[in-house]
Amino acid sequence: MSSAQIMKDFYLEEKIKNRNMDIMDKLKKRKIPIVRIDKSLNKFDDKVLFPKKLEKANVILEEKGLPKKWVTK
Amino acid sequence: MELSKYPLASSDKMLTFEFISEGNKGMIHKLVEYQPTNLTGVYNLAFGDKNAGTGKIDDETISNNGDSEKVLATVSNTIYAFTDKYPNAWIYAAGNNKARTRLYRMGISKFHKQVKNDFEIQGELENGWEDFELGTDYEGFLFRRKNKK
Repeated sequence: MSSAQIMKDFYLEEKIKNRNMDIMDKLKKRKIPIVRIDKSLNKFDDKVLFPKKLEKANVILEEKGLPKKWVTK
Repeated sequence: MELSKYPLASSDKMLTFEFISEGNKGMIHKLVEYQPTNLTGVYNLAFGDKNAGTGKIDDETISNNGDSEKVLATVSNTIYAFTDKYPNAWIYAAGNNKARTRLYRMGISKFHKQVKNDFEIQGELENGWEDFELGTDYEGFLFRRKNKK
């Protein structure tokens, strides 16, 4: 392989590496995450997986209501 | 500061999320569920471990996998994804116990600067609610998204 070809490959590799780092950086900083849809999770949507937690939340929301500031706005 | 987070999977409706915690005890499957409460538009955020073998859900275990910050950051990511799909939803979150709720507060406090740009947060007190204040011990939290679509 000629030295020109080696240099060309080297720069191409560097370019790809930098682009990948750029993408990783953007992914890390983005607020809205990229979420993979997994249809096997659909079966959980109609189930209460954490019944005690839901019960507790309902009791608290009934007792304390919602923040007046938000309800009256 | 950007904390690393685990990749997320979700159901079509984005009511259930799953991720895998990787720590000193191995790989633990975590499920996050947004449960509709008795109040329309208000959802309870709950999460716990899923036994990958039996599929059984356990919300009592404290896994101590040594990655609690990354787990919390990932759960907070689900709040972004969920409210992106349901921008008018209100989310109630409280821990199983005081220590867990304190951990949530520490998580919110750590990223308060960013969080307050995107969410309005109310802190739950014994006798009601107040705007979230750094350093106050709350019993739970209520979130709603700012800048709705």
